[in-house]
Amino acid sequence: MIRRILLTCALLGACVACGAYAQSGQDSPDLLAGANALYREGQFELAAERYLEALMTGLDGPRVHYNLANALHRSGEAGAAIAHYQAALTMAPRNEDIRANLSRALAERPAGRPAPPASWLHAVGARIVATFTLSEFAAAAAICWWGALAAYVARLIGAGRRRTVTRVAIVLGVLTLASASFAAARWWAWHEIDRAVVSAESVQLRTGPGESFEAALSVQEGWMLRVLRQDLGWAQVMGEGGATGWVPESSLVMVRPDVAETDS
Amino acid sequence: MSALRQRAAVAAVVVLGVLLVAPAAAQVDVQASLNRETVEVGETVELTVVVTGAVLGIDAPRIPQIDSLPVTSTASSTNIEFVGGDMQRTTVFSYELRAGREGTYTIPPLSVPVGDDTYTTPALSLRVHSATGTSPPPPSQPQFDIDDEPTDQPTEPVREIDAVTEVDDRTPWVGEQVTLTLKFLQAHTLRLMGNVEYEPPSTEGLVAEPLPDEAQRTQVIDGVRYEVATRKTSLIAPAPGEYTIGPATITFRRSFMQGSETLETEPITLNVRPLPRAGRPADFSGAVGSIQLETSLSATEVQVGEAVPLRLEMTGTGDLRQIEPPEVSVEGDARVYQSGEDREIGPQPTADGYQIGGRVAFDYLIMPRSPGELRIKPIVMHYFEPEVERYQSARTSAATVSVLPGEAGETTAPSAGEELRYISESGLAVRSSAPVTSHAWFWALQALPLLGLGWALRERSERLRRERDPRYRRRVEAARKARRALGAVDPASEAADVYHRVDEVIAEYIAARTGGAAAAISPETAYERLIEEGADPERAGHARDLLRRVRAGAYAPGASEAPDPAEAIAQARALVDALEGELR
Repeated sequence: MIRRILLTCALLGACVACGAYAQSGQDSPDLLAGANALYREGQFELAAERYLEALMTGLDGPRVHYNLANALHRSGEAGAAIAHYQAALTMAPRNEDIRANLSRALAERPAGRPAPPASWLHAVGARIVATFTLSEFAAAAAICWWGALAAYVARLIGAGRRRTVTRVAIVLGVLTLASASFAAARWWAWHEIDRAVVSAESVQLRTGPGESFEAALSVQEGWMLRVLRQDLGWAQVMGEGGATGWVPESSLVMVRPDVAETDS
Repeated sequence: MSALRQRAAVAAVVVLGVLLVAPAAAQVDVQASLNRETVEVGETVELTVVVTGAVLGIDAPRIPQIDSLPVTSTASSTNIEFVGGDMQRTTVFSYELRAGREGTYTIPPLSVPVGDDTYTTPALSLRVHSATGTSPPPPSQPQFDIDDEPTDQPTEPVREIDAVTEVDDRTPWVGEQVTLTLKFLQAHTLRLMGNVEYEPPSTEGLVAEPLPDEAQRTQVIDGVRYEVATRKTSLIAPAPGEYTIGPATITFRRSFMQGSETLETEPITLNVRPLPRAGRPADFSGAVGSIQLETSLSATEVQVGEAVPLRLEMTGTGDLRQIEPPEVSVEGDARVYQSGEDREIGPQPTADGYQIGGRVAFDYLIMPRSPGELRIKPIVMHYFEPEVERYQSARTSAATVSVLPGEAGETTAPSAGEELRYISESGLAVRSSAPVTSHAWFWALQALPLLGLGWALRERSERLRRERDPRYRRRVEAARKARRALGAVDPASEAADVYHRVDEVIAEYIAARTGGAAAAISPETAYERLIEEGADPERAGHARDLLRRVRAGAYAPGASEAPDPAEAIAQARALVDALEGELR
């Protein structure tokens, strides 16, 4: 009995996971192929324009963002390249090529190395959150949720060995909480928070939305900022160190204005 | 005379003696200087004589009369300090001389009587050249004299209250500072009603910045003591051409009976010269003044990927607000970013007064991209120095930074040799999809296990009730047991056994549903109990008849009313099904 219930739940969970993995499966349109050809010929600026056009027409997967970032990087647009590498990594977090090129671009920015995490626990958590997509965390949480409830139901109705069923329910319950927590963290860090990268070589962080406000700090190309508010062409941003200020929106490239993602 | 008075008189004599002897004993120093070495015809130059070390008995030096270099005003001030218990007295005599004619003048040594001695100063030289496009000194300017001594200049009567404006250079270069001096004079004998209102002169087109005020001083002009207040303003012309400094006005009232009076100074015209083309460096920054450069590196040894902060500090005089950050060149694999700047510009004290200047710091970040050595080339900045009227250059010294390889496994610092990974032509998805959490079906699916949980809880509750309440268990399980028992009866077996078994099943079912023992169930009691439990009377009558007939068949073999055994089983099953829907 318990085996049947668990098997049924596992199958249902697998269906959910498969749904999360559903891909468009469409072939690259001509626009993308043309952009790739320009890139191969070394015409990086033109290739970047084509990739941007592809993004506008709805081809917004990690391949387009990654290729666009490469073209921008080759064109000397380090800040915009970092933004698109980040967007690609959001959708395909375990892709080695994206990670390598993003690391290279980040190392070249004037900010230098990012600040170390507060503790090893924080570092491990951040690493896990950055390794999987929101859909993957959600699918894992769903499978564990189904399994945990199935085991509990079996315990209630007296099916199977009580002690074994109880242990399975507890383990799956803990895994459900962990997966859900990681999913929530991923959702908060990568989807709920608007992030942007400084694309101008240097921009002043001002105390208000306008050139007339006092400049408190200057931020350099490639710096990752959290966007708190946008108003009349200006964005209120927060830096990694917690400093806030206003910068022109034109000096930023948003990492991911929507919440789309896909697998690799 | 009392003893007390005698002691006081002796003390006074001693103090007086000390004071009289002190000048001779003290180290006296007398210096003379001019605030400018070159002036134009019509401009003034200030001659200063400073006497230090003397305590008493200082007389004003006698200024020899020099043709075309008359004294237009005098002033004196005394400052007394106590240093280490000793009194230090400094007396300053100032004389304003007006250049009346072109040429080189020598001011002979001045004699300064101090006590019984006379000190002399060295001779001074002054060059006066012709004015270029300047207007002669305005006739309304008051001509000052040394105390009550007459001068050979035709003097005009000085007003009891007056104002004078003057500049230290009427033909400055673009970007060079010109100091505008405003003097307000008010005779000690003049009594005014209320405050004197002052309106500064207009300096349209010029960058004006007030300089620190000088202390108010007393000056004797034509034997009349005046209070003189001086205001100085720095003026910088951003472009060549003619600029006019408008008149300053002062408004005052002498008494209640008189109306307000207004005095105006004469306007001044500046002819600003463009910077010379000759000798101008190709990368001239546009800076005018005197500039020094200095760099400071926060580290001389870093790892790949670590930023090296570099600060370039620029100090000197001139309008440093307009200076752009110079380019920093590095030999080696590194990128350079300008990360910030800090400017502290304002009046800086100099030997001749105040000059606009200060400090400008530009911050840079140097990002090494590969191990090796970085050489920061000297930073050179060209500027025009008005004092010497030529272009100068300031430069820093070169610096070297050692770049070590990054830590093992450091992914944020790839070496320059590592190529950018190629674009993706397959593998990665072309289109994105919304995360699964954004679909309603996902959340609906997560609710399904809750339904199973509810069912399980209900089942568990039912099981526990049956375990605790045997009557309840007998009642709820009666129909299932009856159906199972009827299913087990073989209609092909002995007829009497079939009737007997059907009778037992029906009696047990009715007893379980209505309470009591099956043995106590007769056709009549069955009818009554079923009616009491809410069964339809017709159905209860049917149960009573069926019981009678099966009992007749069981206990009176051959009775005509006994049904066919198979029919008896079917009727019993139908009866159980019907009663199950009617009984409470």
